[in-house]
Amino acid sequence: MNLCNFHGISIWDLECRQGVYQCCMYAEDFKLLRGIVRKTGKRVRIVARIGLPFFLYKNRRRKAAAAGIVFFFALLYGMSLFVWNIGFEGNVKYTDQVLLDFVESKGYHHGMTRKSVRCEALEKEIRNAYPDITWVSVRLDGTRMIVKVKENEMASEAQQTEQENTVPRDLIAPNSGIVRSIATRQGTPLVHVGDSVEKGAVLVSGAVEIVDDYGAHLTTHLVKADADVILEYELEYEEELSRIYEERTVQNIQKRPFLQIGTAVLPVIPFWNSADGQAEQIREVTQFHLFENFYLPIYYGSIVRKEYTVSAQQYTEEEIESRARMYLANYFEKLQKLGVEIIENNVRIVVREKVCLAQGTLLVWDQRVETAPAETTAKETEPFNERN
Amino acid sequence: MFPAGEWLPGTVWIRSVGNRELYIENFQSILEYSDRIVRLQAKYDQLCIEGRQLQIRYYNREEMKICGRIHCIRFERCGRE
Repeated sequence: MNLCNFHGISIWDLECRQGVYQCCMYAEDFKLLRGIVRKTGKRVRIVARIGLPFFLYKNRRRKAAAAGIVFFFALLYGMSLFVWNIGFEGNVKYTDQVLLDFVESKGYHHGMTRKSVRCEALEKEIRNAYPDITWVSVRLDGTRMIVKVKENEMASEAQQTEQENTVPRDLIAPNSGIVRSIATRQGTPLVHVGDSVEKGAVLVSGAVEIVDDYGAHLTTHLVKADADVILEYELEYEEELSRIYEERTVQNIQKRPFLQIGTAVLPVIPFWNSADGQAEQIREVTQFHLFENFYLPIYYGSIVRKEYTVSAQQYTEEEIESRARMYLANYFEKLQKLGVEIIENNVRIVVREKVCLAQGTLLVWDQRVETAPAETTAKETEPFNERN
Repeated sequence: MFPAGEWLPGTVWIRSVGNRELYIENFQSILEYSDRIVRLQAKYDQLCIEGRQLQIRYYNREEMKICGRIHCIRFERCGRE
């Protein structure tokens, strides 16, 4: 050991077992041992050879295995030259499927070569096709093409709001009814509390007449009419629900794994079909990937097959009435979200042999108004500027 | 590696991790090695490490590492000063 140290031979994992010393050293250092062994008169025996050169020499006859390994890496390299996954990030308004359909319509699809991807051209296409998308980035990462978008709804709404602020408008009635309340902030009110109005009638005009001290008309300014108007009217409600419904009774659930390479689905253990009834299949698919962005055209997952029989059932009177009330309650909730207040509920629910009919009227107070461009028949008109 | 302070050149340096590992530097040669005792020659002393299942993890000119169950570390004067 001291001679090894003196000659610069590194030794590690040195053990002493029953007077026999066992250690590890590099193969090239072993060649230097000959002189040392002869000098000390000891015997050296190689217990194991570890390392790639020894492994290759030991398996030198296994040409098929070597070819398989080479083919595997060649195939892996070949696969890395294509795009196998197109992903989208940052999209909220436009779903992945919508964007994928668009991208595919422009000639970018799964299985295309990475070299043929033109990122800048695709970014430009997306920006032109979707005005709401203000920023687009297309990049290739591994075998993934990642399209990152930024939708800017606030800017488009702000722009729209800004445009609306400058356009003179009238407020018109969305429905025929009676005016229950009107509070005008800007514009000329044309109706009073208690007046009956028809649908489309102008409630508050955007034309403001300027008169002199004697009441003579001087000019008319057009403004954006602004007021809180509550209209009372009756809404008709009608909903017919069938008492007959189809009940599915699940008879059997089978689950099988599946493997798909490219577009070829490899056969798996077949499902055994039942004689009667129908079935539905749900497939859960996961794409195989080696690292975060190295996707391959290999898909695996499971197929769940549910077999069921369908039978016609009928709701009881209580059940169907409860459903009708639930539908009515959902309708009320929808109206309230729109700003419509329900004053009276005159809807009756009638249960017949095969149907349930919910019919009647709702007395509502509606705060919504519609707008229309302001019109005037005055001689001199100009948009009102507060600075004048 | 060597802490500041007065020390003689050639002094053997020992670092231990509990009684399981021992790092030794500045030694000259191995006098005796078995699974129960390791005797090293330093410049001025002989270092004797006793224990059980002693293994030399690595051994080169600069440093060696001894693993195992170390019971005692003893310095024996060999007459060199």
